[in-house]
Amino acid sequence: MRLIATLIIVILAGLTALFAGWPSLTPAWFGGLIHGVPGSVVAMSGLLLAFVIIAGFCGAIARNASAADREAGR
Amino acid sequence: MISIGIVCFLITVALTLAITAWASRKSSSRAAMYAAESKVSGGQNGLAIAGDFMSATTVLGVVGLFFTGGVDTMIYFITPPAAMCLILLWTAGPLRRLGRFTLGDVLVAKLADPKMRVFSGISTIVISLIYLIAQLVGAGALVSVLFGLSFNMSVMIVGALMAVYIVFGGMLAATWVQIIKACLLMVGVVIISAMSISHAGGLAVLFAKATALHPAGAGLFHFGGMKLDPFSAVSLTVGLALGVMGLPHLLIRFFTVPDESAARRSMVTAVAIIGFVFILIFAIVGPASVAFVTGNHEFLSATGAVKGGPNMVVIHLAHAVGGEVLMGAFSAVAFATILAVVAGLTIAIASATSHDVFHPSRAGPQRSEASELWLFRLAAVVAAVVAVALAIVFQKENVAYLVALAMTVAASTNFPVIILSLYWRRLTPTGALLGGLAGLISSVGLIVLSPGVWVRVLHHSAPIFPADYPALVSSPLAFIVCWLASLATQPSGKAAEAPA
Repeated sequence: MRLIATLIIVILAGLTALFAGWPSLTPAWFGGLIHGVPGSVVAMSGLLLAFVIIAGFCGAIARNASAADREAGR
Repeated sequence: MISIGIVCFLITVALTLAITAWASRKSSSRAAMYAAESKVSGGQNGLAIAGDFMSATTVLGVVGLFFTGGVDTMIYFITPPAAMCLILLWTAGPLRRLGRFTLGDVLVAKLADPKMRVFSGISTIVISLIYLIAQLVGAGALVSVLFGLSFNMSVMIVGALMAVYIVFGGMLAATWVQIIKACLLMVGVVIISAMSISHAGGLAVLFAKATALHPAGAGLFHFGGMKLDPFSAVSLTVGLALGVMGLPHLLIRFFTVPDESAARRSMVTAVAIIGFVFILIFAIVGPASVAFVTGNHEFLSATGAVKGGPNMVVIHLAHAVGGEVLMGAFSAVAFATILAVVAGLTIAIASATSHDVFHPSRAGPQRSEASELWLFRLAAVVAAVVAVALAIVFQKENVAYLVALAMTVAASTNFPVIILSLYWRRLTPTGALLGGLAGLISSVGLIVLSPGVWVRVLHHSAPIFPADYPALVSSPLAFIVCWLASLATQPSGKAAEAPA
């Protein structure tokens, strides 16, 4: 579970680097307006909110993993 | 304007000094000075971590970057919460279980070599010092704009204050200054966001105004505004993410809670608070700074540049939407922000000096706890003096850029060594030392040779290393050297062990 969660986090964080480094890869709707708010602002704010939610799941995953860590001497 | 600002500043300073006076009565032992006797609750520590992390970069630097570079600054917002989720998954529990006061404790517990303590101490000092310079640059700009003092005098005042907090109040004072600052910052950002929307006449109007006024027009909300090449974009992201995972002043906060459960709880709380503040700053405060500061002659100098530089944009925004009262109040919040972070950084430097670099085991059995605490306080004062001098040298740099550099060094030194020591059983002390040193030397060396220092500070015509953010080179290099040196120095009894 920890590896899957890590992979999801890396992919989500990597998206920003991808868009900043290769702006042409940005989805077209990022440049449009959603109820007057730029699509990029909506998308990136949503991404930040996603990390807040992910942190809650990570807490649960880490709690379950801590026994394994202790057994492994970590 | 100045009178309201002075009152807000004096209240902030008085509050923090009162906390320090209270904490000094409870901080007579080593455990209290280094780790607040590990009695801080998970929720309190979460607030303190948020307060420790959301620095001058967040409040001043990143808004300044958005002002010029637009949504590309999202890299600065996304990577810290992502990194904190990874800390939660991989290192928070083990660090709390193995450490007592410093990261050196953790490395010695895993690798059983006292040299690791010296390495950890030196890397902590280098990383925290660069980070400290960034905070002092922000503080100097803020105080000088508000009071008309010279930059040098402003930085010296902040340096003196931070030394007082740590010399007398230790970790307990730093913790409560950070908690109060986190609360003030949340309230301040909510108020400035609400007033920006109200002043503009709605969120959609705010974005339309920002688009109309910014030189890039609608490009403000398109990626590519910071003109990062692919290497720089990925390297900056890697540096920030792995750097957060190796920042000593954040990681030592886990030693202030009683157990692993509290350590995990504190990280979840911190991500929630940081995420909330970052969303408001990215989605509202950044665009509002463009909408209300661009072209406003009140905030521009004779040359057309923003008064005080881009780092001061958010303070001008507060003035534009809330007048002198909001400007004074928000300046005080920004000042409290800086004080809280410099306090945490000074603790990291002082404890690394007294507990790691000059560990009691090397001073002989006769060294008492009192003499270690004396050394801790001396180190705090020396750190303040050195950081003030360096902040004066780097005063023209953007604080977000300086913080990115500190994180690059952390990503290349602390992070590889910590993660490998926890999860790769074949890591040897020699491998960790050589890998950490390779990361430290390569990251610092490449930063010096990069455009940010080689051209803009040292005034050479062209950089030797083409990119500003070298983490994509230096961090993997540290991992590779750790791996190769460990394989080459395996003790015979451990050679058959498989990686964990």
